[in-house]
Amino acid sequence: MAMRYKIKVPSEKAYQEVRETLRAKNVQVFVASEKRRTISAGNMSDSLILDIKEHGATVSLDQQYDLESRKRA
Amino acid sequence: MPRRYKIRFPDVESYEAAQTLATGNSNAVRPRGAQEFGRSLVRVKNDKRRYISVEPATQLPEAVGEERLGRQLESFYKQFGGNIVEDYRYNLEADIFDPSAFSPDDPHAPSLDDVLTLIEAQNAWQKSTGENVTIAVIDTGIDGTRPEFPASKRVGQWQPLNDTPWTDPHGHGTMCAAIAAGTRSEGGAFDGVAPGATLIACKTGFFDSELAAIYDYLIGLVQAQDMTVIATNSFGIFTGTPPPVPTDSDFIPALDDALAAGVKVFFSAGNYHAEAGGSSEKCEPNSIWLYKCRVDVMTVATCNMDGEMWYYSSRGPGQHFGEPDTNSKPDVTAPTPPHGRILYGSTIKSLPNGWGTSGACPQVAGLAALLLSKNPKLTTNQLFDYIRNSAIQLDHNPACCGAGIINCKRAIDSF
Repeated sequence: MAMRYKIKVPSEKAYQEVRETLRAKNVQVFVASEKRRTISAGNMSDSLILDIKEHGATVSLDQQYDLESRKRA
Repeated sequence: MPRRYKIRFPDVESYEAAQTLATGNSNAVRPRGAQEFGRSLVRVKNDKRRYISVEPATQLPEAVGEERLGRQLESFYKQFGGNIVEDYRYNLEADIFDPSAFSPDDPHAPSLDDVLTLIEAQNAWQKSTGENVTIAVIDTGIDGTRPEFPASKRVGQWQPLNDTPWTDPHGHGTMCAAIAAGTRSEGGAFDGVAPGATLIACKTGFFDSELAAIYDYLIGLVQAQDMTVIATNSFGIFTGTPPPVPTDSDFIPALDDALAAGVKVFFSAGNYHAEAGGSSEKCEPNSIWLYKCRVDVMTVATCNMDGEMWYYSSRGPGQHFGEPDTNSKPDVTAPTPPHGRILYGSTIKSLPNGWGTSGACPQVAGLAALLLSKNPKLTTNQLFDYIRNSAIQLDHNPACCGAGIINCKRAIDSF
């Protein structure tokens, strides 16, 4: 199953740098919120995660809620 | 599908100690996506019978996860005397929204029309059909090829980057949109509760980041365009035990901001009553989770056409009831018929076990549109009071049905 990561950065400058890093590495970006300085991105290597953290970012799993059904969607 | 193991412990002490080893804390069942890296997942925790059910962490390569779980299982056996067996997997009962459970379309079966008659929606349309109000359907998308959603009805969309708005391969979101605000005016099969309301398709995979972005988008519409916006949400966390409060959420702060901006928010209560061990006739145990307990959102249960609660409809008063800014949940109930015909994706289908609280929530969102169309300045409290006070009581404890079954005519007449 593909992973979804939530990246939160501390500044506008870091936000732009991280976006550029993801673009250079062809990482799929699902959501980019300048307001909350949050990026939701697809699979990333461990080394890329470390690179991103050097911009002061925090990287966590993007929590997924469930469709309201009796089993997971 | 990863293999799952069931470990039964000889006493309470070993049972509790072992859970710490399994999860690192007492929150044994975590919502999807919230697991910590590298830890095996506890899928079931049964205090009464002192067993847990564990599977490998999904984040790890399969072989690594199995190997790590194997070491934990060995510890369970050596340190705690746990008896380990593979957790037998039964076949699923027909799921509400499992396509294999859908019945062939039967024109004589009850449909959305019958639901609207029961809640007296058509009788309210003389006074309001929801004009100048917009309902944002936060769901799997809306099928834009359907005539229930003509271009004049579509006033906005949000979707993840590189996704396509106004598409809905799943079908669930289209059902919710049809119930809330579909129209026959251009050849559609059904009218919704508020056929004069407009729609926003918010297509999501229900990730925290997406939900936050959706609510930020709705805030923009309210503030920049002075739109009257209602959000209908038919998603939750699939569990029969109280989930831990998500950490580092952006969705909840965005929801806070949207409520402050004036967005009116409706949530399905959940379909977890049976999952929580509840039987059909009982109004406990509690199975309404997290943000659905908030006083500033309305939470909706579902019953059948005779007013009997569906066996799965989540019961209140809510996980956080009694804490500040909560109220007893659910707030109200809306009916969904057995074998009910409804637009589901691109075609009409019949769902044997009703439409879930998923199909109940957009009915109440539609009712809210009828009311806000008459008075867009209603506060959230006023709006919710009109809906609750006009509901018809059912012969159940409020933890099952809240104030009762909604009634659109009574609500609009009470203005």
